[in-house]
Amino acid sequence: MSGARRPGGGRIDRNRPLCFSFDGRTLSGFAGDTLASALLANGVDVVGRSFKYHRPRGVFAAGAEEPNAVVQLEIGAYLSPNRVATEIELYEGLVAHSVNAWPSLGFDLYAINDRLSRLLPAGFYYKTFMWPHWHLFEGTIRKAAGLGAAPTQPDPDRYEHRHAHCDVLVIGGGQAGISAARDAAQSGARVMLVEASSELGGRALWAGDAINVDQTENLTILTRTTAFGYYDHNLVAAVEDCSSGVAKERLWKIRAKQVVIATGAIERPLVFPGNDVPGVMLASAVQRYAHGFGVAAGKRVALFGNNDGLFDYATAFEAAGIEIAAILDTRRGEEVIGVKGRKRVRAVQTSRGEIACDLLAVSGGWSPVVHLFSQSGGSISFCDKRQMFVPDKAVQQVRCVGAANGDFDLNTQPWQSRAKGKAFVDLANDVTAADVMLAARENYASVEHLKRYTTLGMGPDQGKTSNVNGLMLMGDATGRTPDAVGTTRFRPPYTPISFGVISGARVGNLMRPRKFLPAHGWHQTLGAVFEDYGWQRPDAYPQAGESLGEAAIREARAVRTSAGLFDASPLGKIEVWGSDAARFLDFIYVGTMSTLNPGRIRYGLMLDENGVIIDDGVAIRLAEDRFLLHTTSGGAERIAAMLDEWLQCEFSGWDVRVLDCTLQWGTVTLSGPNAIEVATALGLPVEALPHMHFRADQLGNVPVRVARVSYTGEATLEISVPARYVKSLLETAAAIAGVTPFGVLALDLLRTEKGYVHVGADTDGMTTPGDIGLGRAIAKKTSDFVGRRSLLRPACAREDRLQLVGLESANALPIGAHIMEGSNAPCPSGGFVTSTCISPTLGRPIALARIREGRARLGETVKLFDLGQIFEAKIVAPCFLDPDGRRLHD
Amino acid sequence: MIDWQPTSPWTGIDIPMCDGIVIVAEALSFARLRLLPGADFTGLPGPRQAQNRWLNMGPCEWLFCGNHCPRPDAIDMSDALVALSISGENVFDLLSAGIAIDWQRFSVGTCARMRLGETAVVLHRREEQQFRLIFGAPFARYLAEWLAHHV
Amino acid sequence: MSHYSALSIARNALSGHSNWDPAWRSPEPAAAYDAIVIGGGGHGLATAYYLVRVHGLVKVAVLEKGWIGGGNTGRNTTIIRSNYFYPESAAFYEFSLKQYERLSSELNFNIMFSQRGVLVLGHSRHDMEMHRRSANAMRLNGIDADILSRDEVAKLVPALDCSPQARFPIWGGMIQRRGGTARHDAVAWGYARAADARGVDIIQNCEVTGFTIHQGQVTGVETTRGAIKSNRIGIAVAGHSSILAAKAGFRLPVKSYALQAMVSEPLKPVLDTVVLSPATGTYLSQSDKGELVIGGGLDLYASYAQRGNLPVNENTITGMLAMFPTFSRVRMLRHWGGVCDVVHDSSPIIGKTPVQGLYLSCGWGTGGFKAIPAGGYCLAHTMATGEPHELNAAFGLDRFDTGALIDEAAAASIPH
Repeated sequence: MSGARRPGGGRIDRNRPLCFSFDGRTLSGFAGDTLASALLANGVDVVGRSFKYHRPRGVFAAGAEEPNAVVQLEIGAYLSPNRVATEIELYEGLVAHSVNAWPSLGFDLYAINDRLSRLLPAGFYYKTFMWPHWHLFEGTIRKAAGLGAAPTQPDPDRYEHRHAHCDVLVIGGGQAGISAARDAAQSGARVMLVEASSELGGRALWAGDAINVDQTENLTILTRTTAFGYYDHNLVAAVEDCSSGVAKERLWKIRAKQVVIATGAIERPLVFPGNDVPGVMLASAVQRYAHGFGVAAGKRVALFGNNDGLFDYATAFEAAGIEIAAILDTRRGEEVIGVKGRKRVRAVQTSRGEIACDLLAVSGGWSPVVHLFSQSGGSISFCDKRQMFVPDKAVQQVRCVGAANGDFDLNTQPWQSRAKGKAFVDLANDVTAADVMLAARENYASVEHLKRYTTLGMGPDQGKTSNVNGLMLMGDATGRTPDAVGTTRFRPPYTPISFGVISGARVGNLMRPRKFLPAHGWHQTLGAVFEDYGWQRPDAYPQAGESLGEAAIREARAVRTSAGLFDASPLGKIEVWGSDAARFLDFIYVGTMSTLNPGRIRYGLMLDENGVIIDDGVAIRLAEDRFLLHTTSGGAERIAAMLDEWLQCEFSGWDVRVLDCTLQWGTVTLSGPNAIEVATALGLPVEALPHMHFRADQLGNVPVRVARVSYTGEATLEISVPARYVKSLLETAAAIAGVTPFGVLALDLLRTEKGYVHVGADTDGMTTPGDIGLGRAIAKKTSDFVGRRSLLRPACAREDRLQLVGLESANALPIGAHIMEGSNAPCPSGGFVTSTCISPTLGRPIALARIREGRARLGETVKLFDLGQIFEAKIVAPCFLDPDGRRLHD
Repeated sequence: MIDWQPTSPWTGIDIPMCDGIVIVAEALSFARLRLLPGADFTGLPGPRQAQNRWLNMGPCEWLFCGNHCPRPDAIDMSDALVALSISGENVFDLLSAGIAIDWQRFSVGTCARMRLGETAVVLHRREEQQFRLIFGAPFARYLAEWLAHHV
Repeated sequence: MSHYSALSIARNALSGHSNWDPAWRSPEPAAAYDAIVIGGGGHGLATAYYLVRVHGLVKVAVLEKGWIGGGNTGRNTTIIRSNYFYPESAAFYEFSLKQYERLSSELNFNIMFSQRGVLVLGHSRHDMEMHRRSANAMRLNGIDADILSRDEVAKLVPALDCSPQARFPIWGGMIQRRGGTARHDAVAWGYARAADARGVDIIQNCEVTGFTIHQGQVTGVETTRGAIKSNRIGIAVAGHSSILAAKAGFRLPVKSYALQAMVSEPLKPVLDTVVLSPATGTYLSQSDKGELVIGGGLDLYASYAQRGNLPVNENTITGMLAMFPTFSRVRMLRHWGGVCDVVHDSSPIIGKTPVQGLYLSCGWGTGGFKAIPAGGYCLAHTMATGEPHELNAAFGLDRFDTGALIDEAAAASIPH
């Protein structure tokens, strides 16, 4: 016979019946049921097939420790794979399917594995499937492995995070936890109590009673909240199952001054042949179903155990109307040596003969739930008297109370079966006692080797009902005490938690902020096509019928022939001031800034301590003791932080201060032969401003800073105004005839024609100043600067380093093509292409590359390789236009 | 000549609202002050304190929130930063979704730099249930979306 | 050693599997050895194996302070690839990959090397340019590499969000099809069993507490199980390298950080390739058991705790969901950490130390698993001959003096 609903009893609401479906069968239950209790009440014996042998399995436990009843919950977008039926609160219309059986739970073809079980001992896959090749077998094995299937639709649910602080966090709302919480609250402390179930009471619930505790101003109670991880500095993470509200689950991150762990204990089964047949259950689970859910898990029960709990169970079962067929106590030499039945217990074979029954309730002792305590860093030790691992020394501010602390003694005696037959240690992963013996025999004797070799404790239940039995068996086999064998390391999460709740709200745009230019809207009205360069920036402004590439060429030509307009607002702007500012910048830059006069600009290269180029830009001297650094847009924050670090760590006595003002100023670049004329027409202070000079002024009440510095090779002004006015500046400038807005792509074409380096593209994490032709400046500088010492190392002085050169070719060379130092691939690489384009000004392909000994090989023809295609190119100087820079000046 | 029309970083961005919480974009000027260790700090608030429109940003660093900063050595940052006022009885639940601060130890008049979601912010508790949130202007859209998601 | 095969399983089934030999012995440490390897992880065990198999040394011991394979070898995300940029790295890791391709048959232990491809995504123009540069470097080094378009990526990895709505839209990717995953424990156990069968003494629960050094030459170690003599000692202890180096009187440019990894519950096959996103730093694959195996960036504070904290975990998972939003309802089963020895040029240190007779293999950072065969082979060669092999000549400790760094992280967009 099977389980059935009792006529009365349980904490279910018999006035609220619910319909649900399991494997297509419509069944009914009540509000207050879990899916597991409802299945039992409907007489469902088989809820799944075991992982390896596909043996029929029934509900075994009543809590998160359940190893068998894993289901696929819901379908479509609300599909949740691998949910444990004991942890699912029943609701109207619930749909669930069994997993790991094909074609059906009742008739599973994979059950052939059970027949072949002798060929499939623990670790068998390490000993075979090698020839001819693992790939031949892998596909089949992968298909057979896994439990549920991943959803294929986007998650419709939302998730949240919440931070909380308290003086005392109590984990577990059973009697011990409630006491601790009440005491702490009474003393005035801020207390939080988290409980995984929907009600408080712990084991009282198993007897049918809940405990009511009222929240107060200083006592917060969270139910349906499972604390799953204990991290450094008393941070405990918990997941709340939100039954209402907008979010489905909430991740609580609770920082507590003190933590009280009252997580109770989990009953262990006994290991004997036939102990996995549906109808063999933990005795505490039978009790909980009977009085907590009003379900008699069977009609006639045999009790089998090794501790004093047996007697209370008998009383509880009788009170629930379950007939007691026998009580077998190992301490009296009584034992079960086999179980009859395959899809349901029919009888047990015992030392007293065969006993007919449909339910076998086992109790092999208890294991305090020490997981969180151990995660906190606390040590545990095995108590021989009580036959359990108990908390020992705490490392953080935490203590354990109640059953979690092992504060009980049931006169448990260890027992090992000597009977023949398949005796399961780990139901979730089908690990038998024989597997443990095999591991011992093959010397996988450390508890961690035992786990990994046999997969004991690696299933979704993480060995909650099997780890201790397994290690005790290993200890027996190798002559070690349980303490000597030890436990495997406890890791979060205590029970599985969804990836969605870990990520919380960080989906889509909230995953990482996008940065928008102050005049973003204006660029949009001009039809800009944006790309993410850290900031959303216009690649180009294609006109009707134009491709992006064509637009970029048109814009670049406009810059060379007339004037172009570019939004350079992300340009890094760092102010450095103080009486030691000049001296400091001499240390930071490769060049010498102390000799710069106020109003002058100098190109600035920054290195890291390995001598590698990390940024290039310009330094502007505003006054004797004041500088403005223009860095690359990607570099500003990083450089400002780097400057501060040097000041705080090495030069804390110097009179220098640094401030990143990038966001304060919007910057507009006007570039081209007509740029100065346009700027004058706008009323900007550019009269007689030579190249590499700077001027600050006020137009009305608007401060304006103008730097004449070029990245295009044309006369160029970088005009900075407070960000709120940059749109006005852009609008007015764009309205002037002959002014063309241009984007990042056009800028790249222009600077490539000039051979101006783009740090991060033409340079990488190995490029030194000498590699890009700036070695002489360093040789001249006598004072120390960041990276100088590294540049003196032999590797930096070698002649055969990759050096920046230009390439001319008949066909455009792709970026990333490599120079071949041999006639056919594979062969050594002699460098690679770093920048490339079809020059808008010259109308032919040009490229920049870093080539071994490149500067000594001008005029040489080289072969290049790109994904199987071969190109030819000639090495030339890395500047294709106006090498004397005449166009920069008036 | 240029007709200087200021634009607001909040243009085109909806600031969310809901029961129990009022969120308002504040029109404020800002200035950042950095001094050297050993300089005269009189009149400037100590660590994590806000006082007379000055917020302490860390050792030797302050932020002025308001018009007419009294110190000429402070650098104008009015365009770099924006501020939101967030107030109401549900403000703690809202902010606790993204800020790990213990409100009991963050009394009225306290300010500090911290993370909210994926951005750096300055948080100033101005009243029991009123906060000012200051952050970089380019993050206005992100923060508005974050708040909308959580109210 | 008794041969493993389907036939041997069938035969042993007849006797209830009671006749299997131990995979390795548990011998008492001898007083002296021809060579000692400190560290019973993949690298140490492989070193011992190659010392006896290739160089014919007779008395070799591996000293492991805990249980073999219990360090990073037992904690990593099992990825094997050789998609490196510089010729020195390419040669090294390609040698390793080639050894992996034949390792099961060589060790007679199924390591389940699944060459399912390692795909690095590209999310921008710059990403794709860097991938092309890497792919060409690989091809010129004789290693397989392909650039994939977005459509090809979408076809290969259907669960990946290739839509324009993704937070980091995918432009394409670079794939090494011969890369993949293997069963990490099996690699350690396979080398251990094969080494033991050739007479290597694997001594577990034996911690080295000091070195005896006489006039600049190492003469032995002090351990928790007594003093053991040898003039030829190799250190392969990953995250604890600095600690042992200090005991031997020299410093290393190594910082030890926690690196986290996590798995989901077992699922039916949903991901057939290893996928990495440079935008988020997250990478994942699906094990043959069905679990999603996920990794990301380091917990960036020095630690030997072999565990990280929640913020980095959140970042990694968030990064994964940005790539695979449909995995949101799948659940994390377990997360753990290891100790990674990180060197600032992201390349290993294999070779001699300032102490004569003392050799070192470390600096594997987050990428040591793929290097086990080559790392063991090279350390064995260096120990046996006293000089580095051609494959590890460029990875000596002296490169920090000469400046000849091999900065893979800087050169390519593939994090370590």
